[in-house]
Amino acid sequence: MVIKDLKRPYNQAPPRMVVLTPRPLEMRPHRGADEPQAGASAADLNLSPTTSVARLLLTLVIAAVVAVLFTARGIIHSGEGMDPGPAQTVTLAIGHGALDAAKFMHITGPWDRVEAALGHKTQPALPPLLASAADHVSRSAVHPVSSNRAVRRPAGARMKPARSSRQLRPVRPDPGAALSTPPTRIPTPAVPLRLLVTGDSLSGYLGPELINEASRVGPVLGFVDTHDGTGLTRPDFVDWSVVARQQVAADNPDAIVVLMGGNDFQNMTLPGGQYFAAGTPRWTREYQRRAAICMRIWSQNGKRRVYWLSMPPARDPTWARDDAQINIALQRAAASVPGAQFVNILGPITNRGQYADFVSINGRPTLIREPDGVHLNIAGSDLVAHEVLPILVHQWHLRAAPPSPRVREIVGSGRSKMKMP
Amino acid sequence: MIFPTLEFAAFFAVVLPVSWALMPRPRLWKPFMLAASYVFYGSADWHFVFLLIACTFWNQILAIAIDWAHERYRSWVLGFALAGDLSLLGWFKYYGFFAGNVAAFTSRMGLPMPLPLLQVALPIAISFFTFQAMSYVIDVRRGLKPVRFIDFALYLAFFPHLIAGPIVRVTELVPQFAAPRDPRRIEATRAFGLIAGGLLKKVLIADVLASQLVDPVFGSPALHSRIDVLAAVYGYAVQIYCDFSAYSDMAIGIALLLGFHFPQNFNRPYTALTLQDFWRRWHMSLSRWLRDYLYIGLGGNRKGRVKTYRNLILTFILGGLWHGAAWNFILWGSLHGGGLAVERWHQERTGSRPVRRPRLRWLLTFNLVCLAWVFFRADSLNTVRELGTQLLQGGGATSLTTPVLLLICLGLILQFVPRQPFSRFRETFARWGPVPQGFVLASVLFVTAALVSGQGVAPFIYYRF
Repeated sequence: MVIKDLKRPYNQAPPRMVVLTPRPLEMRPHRGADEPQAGASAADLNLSPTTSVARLLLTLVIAAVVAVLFTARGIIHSGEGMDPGPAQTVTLAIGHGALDAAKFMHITGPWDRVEAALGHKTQPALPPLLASAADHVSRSAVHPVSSNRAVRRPAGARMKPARSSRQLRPVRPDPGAALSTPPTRIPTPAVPLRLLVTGDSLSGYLGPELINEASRVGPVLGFVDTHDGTGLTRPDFVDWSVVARQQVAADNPDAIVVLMGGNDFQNMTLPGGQYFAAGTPRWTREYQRRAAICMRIWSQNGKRRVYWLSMPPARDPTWARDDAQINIALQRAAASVPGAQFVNILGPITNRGQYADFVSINGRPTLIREPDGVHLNIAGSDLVAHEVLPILVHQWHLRAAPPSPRVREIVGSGRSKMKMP
Repeated sequence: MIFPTLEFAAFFAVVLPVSWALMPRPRLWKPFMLAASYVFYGSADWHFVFLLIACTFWNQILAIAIDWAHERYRSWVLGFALAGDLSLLGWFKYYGFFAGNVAAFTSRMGLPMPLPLLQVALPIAISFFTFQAMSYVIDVRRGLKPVRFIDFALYLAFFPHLIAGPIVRVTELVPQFAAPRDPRRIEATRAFGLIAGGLLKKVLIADVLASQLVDPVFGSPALHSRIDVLAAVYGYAVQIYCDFSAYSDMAIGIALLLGFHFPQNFNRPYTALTLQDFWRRWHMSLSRWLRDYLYIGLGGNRKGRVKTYRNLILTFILGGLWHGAAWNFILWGSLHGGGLAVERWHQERTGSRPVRRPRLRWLLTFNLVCLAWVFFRADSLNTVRELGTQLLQGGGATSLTTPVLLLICLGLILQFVPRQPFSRFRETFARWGPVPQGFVLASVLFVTAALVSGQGVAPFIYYRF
């Protein structure tokens, strides 16, 4: 590459013109009226100012350096949300290096002020979900690892096979927990039921569907708050205990419906470097602990009702086994928190607890999953909404819910050989 | 990989200098750019790179066969090539829609004939690259000499336009591959303007309107007042323009930084006075494709008045179906096709006089376009019905906020702002040195990063097509 003339102004004619005129494409002899027009696009080639590649690269490097310095915190936050791997390592290294440099130059202020003005909350240095784990961890055996970052569970790391989600056994409530909850009020048009549907991207379609259905049977004021790419295993990226507090403060919900876990197929790491391999009993206990913390924040000792929905199994059998572990953890956590309830939604959307792409709804074969094999599509979310609605109707004294779609049989669960990651 | 991400920034930071370094040596540059484009495409799912390569081989082999074949067989070979392309599109994009509707219809008739139900993953950009491949073989049938394999492969896979267009023709891009681009004459200022403008349109207008107004209202129409519904309809018109034109602007800007020119894809579409005018300004590369390869292929306006109307409606129904396998897209296309046919009928009755009452015509056209967008955006026809009900009966307090209202107005006003101030700023910006230019660009990146706050930019609407 020739990068010599850094100082030459952009509009000065280059010393030697390089051939710009494209060679016209060869055409066979004329055959009809529908000939395509050859070479059209470079019509406005000389209309705007031009510059050299050297100047262009220099400008881009300056822009990149300045932007990286001023947005260092954002880069770190993005890196924390990435899957573990080289890309995350490089992003975090750049972000932390830039943040150190920005602090040295005292230029972190603009980012902090803009984020505060936009209402974006800064993640605490030590996420509360992790901060309260120290005591819990000290009592359990630890597995030393060299990195303090979460890593994907290696193949074959499972300690014992998980039960199918459909085969969940009833969990006895924790005898120590005060599970009596105050009775629910009767919503009125003046004071409607404040219903919050939240979670990761799994709740994206469910929220509007459920709120739509609920608003047909009673006075409901709905809120949907989805946080894509988040979960309980990565509080370093988004801490759901912080999110839960913000939601309670902002929306003051009476009932909270939670669906998440699609990003939790990974090991968990604590600040001390201890980690829990996904699928192991210790991983399940830690997940249960984190879920219980969030449930307590939302329920506020039974003042609000929390309905945590079971995680639909993923198409990938390994992930589906992790989903089953998540469901066991959620069921146990809900049994120990006043006002919290674990809702098993797997009946209409699975084939006896196993993954299914299609189910028969009112006699019509219907696709209920997204191509990624994790998310429910709108039809699937509608089925889940109809599964949750009777519980809301019963507990919040709404009038009778409309009949649920008739899901009779699983008519197919085939899939293409290619699938999205 | 989408443009406004850290992954793409890292990718482009490598590709841009290496591309310019290899530019004087086309034998090295073309394989490099092809490999880079496959890496770009394969970052979502590497399996689909093989699909793209298979599509390239299929069309190039049959383009050569068309060229070699005797005149009387050329149309047969072309038909074979198009059948292959349409089968690819049909399998990945329309099989589920077809199987579901056939199964429902036959079971309603009492003759259940269920087709195998498969969850077919939709390869990203399949609609765009199959349409470009089809245009190539049709052009070869119409007299174009087949280009070299590497040129065709690169034309199909060139990463700036691969995912969501603009849909370029082989005659527009391959001649640019033939000669090295001049490293002293890069339209960097225009490219920066397009990329920065695209970023701001996307994160400042489109994404905010989507999250604050359009998604909640289209998700739960029953919970919103008629004012919210009305605002969401206009808001979606602004959102989809700011979203899709932002992608096109960024694609054109990125190509410019690499030294290549793409055709313009949007030209202030909401200033159109007629539907015909709208389609000359909206997704211009698709309109041009539909006109040249479908409408003209069906006979255009050469076979009588009635067939002209039929061709218009059919072209737009198929154009709607191109966007997705769903009845709402078919209705969206039908509305546009029907509207264009009515417009043409009216034009023929009144003669080709200049548009009378331009303000009224603008109002009519804009509202018809917005009405059609409702079908385009709604998840189902049931949602359309609910929106209509709320629009007529929905009382209650509005949740519309002033910033959202201002963004809708801003998105519309931008269509009518004269171009001169932007051109003047571009000229001034070009005179600045690299340091102030770099700071201006950095400030745009800063605003973008702060708005998305590390969560990443929401996917572009046209990614799923």
